[in-house]
Amino acid sequence: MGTCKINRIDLDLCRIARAMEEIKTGVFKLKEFSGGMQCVIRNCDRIMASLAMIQINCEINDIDEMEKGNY
Amino acid sequence: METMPREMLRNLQLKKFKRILKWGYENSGLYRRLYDQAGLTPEDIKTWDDVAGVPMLEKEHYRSAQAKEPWPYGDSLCVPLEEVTAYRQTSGTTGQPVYQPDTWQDWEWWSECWAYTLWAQGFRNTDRVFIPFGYNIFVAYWAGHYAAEKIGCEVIPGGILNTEERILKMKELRASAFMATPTYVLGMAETAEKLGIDPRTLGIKRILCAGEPGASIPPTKRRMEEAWGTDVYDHIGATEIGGWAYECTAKPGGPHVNEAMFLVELIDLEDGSPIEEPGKPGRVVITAFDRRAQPCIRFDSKDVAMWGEPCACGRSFRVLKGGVIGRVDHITKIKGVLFSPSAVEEVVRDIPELGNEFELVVRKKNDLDELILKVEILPHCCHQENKIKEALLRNLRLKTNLNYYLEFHPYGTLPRYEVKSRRFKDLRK
Ligand SMILES: [Zn+2]
Repeated sequence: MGTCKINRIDLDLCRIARAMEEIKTGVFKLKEFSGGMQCVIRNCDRIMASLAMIQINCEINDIDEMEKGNY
Repeated sequence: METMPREMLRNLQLKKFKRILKWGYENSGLYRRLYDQAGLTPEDIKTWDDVAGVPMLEKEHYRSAQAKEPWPYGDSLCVPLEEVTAYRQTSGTTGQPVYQPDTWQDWEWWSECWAYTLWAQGFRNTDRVFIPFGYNIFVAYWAGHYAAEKIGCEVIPGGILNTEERILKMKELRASAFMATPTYVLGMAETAEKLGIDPRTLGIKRILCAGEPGASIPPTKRRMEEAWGTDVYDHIGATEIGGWAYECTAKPGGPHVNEAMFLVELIDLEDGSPIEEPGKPGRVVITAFDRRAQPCIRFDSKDVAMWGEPCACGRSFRVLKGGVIGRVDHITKIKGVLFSPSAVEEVVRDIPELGNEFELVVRKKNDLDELILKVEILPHCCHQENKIKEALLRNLRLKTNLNYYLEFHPYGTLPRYEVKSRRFKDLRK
């Protein structure tokens, strides 16, 4: 199940998962380049928490694949 | 996702259950001890029967784990203390309070759960939401506040204002919605009228109720909706658990369980067997799938509820008919009869000549249980006392199979509560 329609919303899990991976990679880079600067790190942590919520909501459609990051 | 087929939903729940149980087992001394004693490892959980065999957790487990280090969460804590960003606690009505740690991610999760509630009840980014509540160490309405922000509402914190000031502020700012306990929703309407303001003219479009079961008790709901001229919806949550059930705009007679975020099991009050059929009261046992700092796995909420019929809104999440219908410890037997105080609320609030408040006392007299019900007659109905008395006794008997001593009190003299009303007093213990 890659794409599904819920209430006329086109939900493309494949691309969501891929975009989330890209953001995570970006967040790790931000932290790495921050040289430990607190304002970067704490905002990165907040981004990660928000990503986790997107993950929880998306894996409702296919937990196995979302857990594996296979989309 | 709230409409996913039941079978898919059940599979998802089983996977999420396994995942959180593994998390608890690997990261918390509390769960490790509990499961080790039962000879259970995460790998043993394969089927729903296995889930039903997982030891239940009670408040007391949290309390004893919290007596250990690190202060104040002890080894119920699953993350380093530095990651905890929020402290809350239970009210301690039943003993030492339980301390509740949340990480920022847990807090995002709290508001995520509440966002399901608000969305289902028609809250949108066009709403201006007033929160008439004294924010403090209890979780009440904090998550509602954050969730309302999350879905884009404009939120007005009505924290330390008194009731009059809150009503005037709601009027001044033209709030479109608010959230409060059923008791306080009714109390605010009374106060507004004292100020010469008809609550129905304030333009409130929706009211969310939490903290008490009233919004799922039809006569109480009707009173609130008539007083404010708008829709009133129920929500259920608890500090140790999260916001786990919400009513939708189709109003199916009770809230939907958020089954994507929680596993809610109803088990027989006598023998503990699982209840799947509608209409049979059971003990509510809850698992929060994604709460990580202090997980909540097969927690005995001590609430009593029963399944209802599927809702017309199309959500596949199951409905609890009448919401939480009582507490396990309140549903002790009276004169050998199974009794729930919410049945009394239903009778009292169905009689229009009576005020919103009441108090119920059960005590021992010569080894026999005796029930005293205190009510208030509305000022203009005082001459009808006998007629009201008759109706009250008849309906109470029909609904609860018990007899009561009635006490009529002058209107406005019984205690008013903002949160956690204590209308039921069992003096037998
Ligand atoms: Zn519904």
